[in-house]
Amino acid sequence: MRKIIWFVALLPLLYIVYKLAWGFAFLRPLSHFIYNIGGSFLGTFPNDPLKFTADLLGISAIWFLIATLTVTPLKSYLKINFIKYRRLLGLWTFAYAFMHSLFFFIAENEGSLSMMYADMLKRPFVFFGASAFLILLMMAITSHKKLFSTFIKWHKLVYLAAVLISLHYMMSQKVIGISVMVYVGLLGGLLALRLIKR
Amino acid sequence: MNILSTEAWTINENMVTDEKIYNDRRRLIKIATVTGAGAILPSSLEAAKTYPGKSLSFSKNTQYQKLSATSYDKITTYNNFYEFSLSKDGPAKLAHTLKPEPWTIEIAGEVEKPIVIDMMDIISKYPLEERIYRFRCVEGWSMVVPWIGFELSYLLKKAGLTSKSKFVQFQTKYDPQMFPEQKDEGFFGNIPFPYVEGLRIDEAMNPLTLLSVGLYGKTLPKQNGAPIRLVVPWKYGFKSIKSITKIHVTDKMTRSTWNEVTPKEYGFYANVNPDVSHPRWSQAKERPLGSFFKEKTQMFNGYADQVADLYKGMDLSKHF
Repeated sequence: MRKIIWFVALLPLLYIVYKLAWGFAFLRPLSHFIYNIGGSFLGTFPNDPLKFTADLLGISAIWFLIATLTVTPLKSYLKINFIKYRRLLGLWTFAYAFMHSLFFFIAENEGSLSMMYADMLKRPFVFFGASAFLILLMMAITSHKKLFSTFIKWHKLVYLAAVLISLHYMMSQKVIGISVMVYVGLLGGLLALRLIKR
Repeated sequence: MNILSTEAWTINENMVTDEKIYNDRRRLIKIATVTGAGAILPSSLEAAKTYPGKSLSFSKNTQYQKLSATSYDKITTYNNFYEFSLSKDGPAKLAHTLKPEPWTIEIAGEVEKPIVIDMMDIISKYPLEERIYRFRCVEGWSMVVPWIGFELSYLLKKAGLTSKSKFVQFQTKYDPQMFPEQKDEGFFGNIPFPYVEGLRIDEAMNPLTLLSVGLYGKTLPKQNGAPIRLVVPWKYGFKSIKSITKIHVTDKMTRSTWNEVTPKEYGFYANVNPDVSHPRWSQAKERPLGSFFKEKTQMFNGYADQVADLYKGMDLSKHF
């Protein structure tokens, strides 16, 4: 199971490497090789590589957040126990959120902290995203066995993070399309399950 | 201003229209004249088959040949055309339902004589020229397109302007059979249809403003707004409305779809301006398609020399 999670988790990353490799002469043969095996649906160099990379990293983080939040209801409603994989799923959520944030920081804010700070104050969707990231960062650090029992209460903040991420995702779009509604609907549904239980 | 008129014979040998197509063109005009718009006859169906990617005859405007164009592949696979899809690659896959023939454009409203023009007349008789323009999307990406078209002013002069001609409104054809997403108006976040856009009359009459019927030497691909679209290179891309069927000249400021959807984010003018950011992102830089590296966005998208005067004395942060 752990191996399956790792495999699935690495797919978006490998896909990004494959797509961006088209852009570099020395890596192009690698992409060609994969293209010949995988077929044309994999596509070639993305038209808008910066947006492609940032979007896919962000969406992957959302997928892992959804997976992480599904573990508990799966146990309480369907008696399927995946609880021992929850930390791994959560850490992958953090990993993709981290790559997404780092990529945004470099590509959008040119690696300048002051620009990032100004951006956060000026644009609510950046602020929501950054706040959610800080929550995930705290959770990743305190997910270690030694710290987890002390910080378990604080891990309830993941619900706030889910709300912030939903807002962040919706506000980053020009219009709210069907895919956004699906992701946000799933996150909302998972949060609602927690409220119903009370 | 330096007005350069280039003759058709200055173009390269490989740009010259094939003789067969040239002859076909005359036949097509005949068909259009005989059958008239909307008449479904085998001959007009035959004409429809010949439409996609037909070579055009045009001259090259040397004043606008300096930029190196984005690849045909990128220009035709990265499109915002919400009548088909909200995604960028969707229109290229879904736009086959668009039937660009027969097609007419109506010019009405505050003009001396309202006219209806057949696309065939435009393609065969209008002074078509190639101009390579920058194209900057409000979302932050950009490309360079070798448009084939004619100045909008040429058409407006044909209809004749009056003292009441102050604004020009454009409308995309409304036909859910051709544009499937027009059915789902307002549902799943799509925008209201038909799509409308507008220009102030001096903007419309500016020599930069084109009605485009093609790119890369051929008729417009469907996903790029076949058979005829507006091109206003100093404004964000959403002003350059696609698949136009109505042009209405008015004495009042016209509607503008994005302005109606989110007035705080999209203004009527929508001039490219690196100093006025979109409420949710900066407009200082742009991502040229296919590039890892951003470029600085230029004031009026690099066309300040030709258009800055139009906005003298206006606060561009208010009239964004």
